[in-house]
Amino acid sequence: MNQIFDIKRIYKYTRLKLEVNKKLIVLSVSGFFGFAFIVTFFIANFSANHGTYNMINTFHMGTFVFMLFAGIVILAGRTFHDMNSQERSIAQLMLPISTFERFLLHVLTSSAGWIIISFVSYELFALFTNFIWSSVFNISIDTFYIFNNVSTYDAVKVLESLFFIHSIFFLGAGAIKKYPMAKTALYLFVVNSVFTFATMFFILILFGSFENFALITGNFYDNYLSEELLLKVGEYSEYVFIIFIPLVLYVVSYFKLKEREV
Amino acid sequence: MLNIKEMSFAYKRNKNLFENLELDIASGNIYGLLGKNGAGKSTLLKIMSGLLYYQKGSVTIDGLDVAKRLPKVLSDIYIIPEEFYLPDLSMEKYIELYSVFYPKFNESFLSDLIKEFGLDRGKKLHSLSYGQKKKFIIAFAIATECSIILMDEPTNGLDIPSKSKFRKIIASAINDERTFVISTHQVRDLENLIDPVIIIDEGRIIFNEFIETISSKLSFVKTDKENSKAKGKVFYTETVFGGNYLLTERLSDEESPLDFELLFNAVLSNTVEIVEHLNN
Repeated sequence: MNQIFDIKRIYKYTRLKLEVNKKLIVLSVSGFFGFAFIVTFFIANFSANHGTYNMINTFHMGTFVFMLFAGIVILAGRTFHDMNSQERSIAQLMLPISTFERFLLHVLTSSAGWIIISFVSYELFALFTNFIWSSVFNISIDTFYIFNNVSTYDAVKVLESLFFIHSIFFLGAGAIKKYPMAKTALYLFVVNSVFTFATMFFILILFGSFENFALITGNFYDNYLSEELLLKVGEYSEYVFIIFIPLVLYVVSYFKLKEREV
Repeated sequence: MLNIKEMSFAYKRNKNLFENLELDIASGNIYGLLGKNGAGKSTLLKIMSGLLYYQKGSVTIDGLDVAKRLPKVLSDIYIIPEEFYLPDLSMEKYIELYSVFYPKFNESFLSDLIKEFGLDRGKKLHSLSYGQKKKFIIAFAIATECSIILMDEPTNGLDIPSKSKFRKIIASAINDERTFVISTHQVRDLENLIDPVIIIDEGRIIFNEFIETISSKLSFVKTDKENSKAKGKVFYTETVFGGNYLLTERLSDEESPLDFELLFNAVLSNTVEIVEHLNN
């Protein structure tokens, strides 16, 4: 039997994880949809009184995006929550599965798995609520389909940012034992602030003022950089953010997971 | 089976808990790992199971490094820590989900053990008391048929009848293919069960002997205050009500019942002489 990857072991582990977390998953998902359902009632009621029938679909769009991003952050940030105390850690680390299998399952379920589940479940929820409220209030609501409102290009951009955020919080979950989600968010804030202030500081030191900086760099762009080159730089930096950085963060997460002790 | 060679481990840099530790755990035995609080018993069990990474040397099970946490190794070793975690599942569900990871898992044996411990298989694990949970995890561990079972203070939280059932179960579960390593403070709970005895102190194994060797060379004697019954060299004296309790060299053919507490205290206070005497 392969000691690094075995599909049967992954299946057993997936089953175990689903069963152990079943209650939490059902409670959170039903709580979220329950709350959204109540809100759609008020929106449908308002729509019926004011004749703005598709307001409910705008709500669906916003809620779906919130669900997607909040879900990614929560799932990635809580990935190894069952290894955050000594007793739980022992139970997890002693399970006869490889670190790679553990890593793979968690990476896939908390990213791609979540994206698929939230898309399917939200579409079903929207279909259900639109049907219910259109029948109850006798109004006509368009069928909600996410891709009616979002272009493929925008969807790809959303996916890129989802994976970027996922990789950051996933690493946080692998590297930080206590309160990984909150600490990762805090580190992000600190790192961002430090970079922003450092940049501002250097601009002021080197150029005297922001106006001066804008003038000099503007002249520099006009004289030495072509639009084509700038686009290329933009494209490559996007690759760095959507491919290189998440990849590095995932690799580091794997090694952090491998290093875990009790 | 399990070999520890020149293993060093430290929680903090420059302060080794274990330094060049050597230990061979052979199959077919119930090892008793004794030591004072903080001696390193639990840490050693965690290193043996790959839960902690050692910094130097090697720890292997049948030649495979435990620190690699290979599924093959993990499916043949089971550790019951002093404080353990059981998920919010029914006993039945737990068995169904976790037993599949252990290729040698013996379902009917588990049923017998659950019955022996007086547990109800239909119950939710979270509704059980600490002692009942402990009995369940012990039963599950034994039923996995893992070659190495490590137990940290297994009798803590067990009531008196359960302690004797525990002894009975362990004694019936041992065979030539498997080994138990039991770490405990409560040596009396494991009397007539553990063999050999390993005593660990300040990160060093100061004593590692089979009961047969101990019994053949040492006597446990209760005497009056003047030690009038003492024959041969006295290694250790403990004052008890109405006299003294002595650990002496054995001179007569008459075997005295082994007292783990006296042995433990004697070894801690007079290691060199006792070990030398046993090795001669």
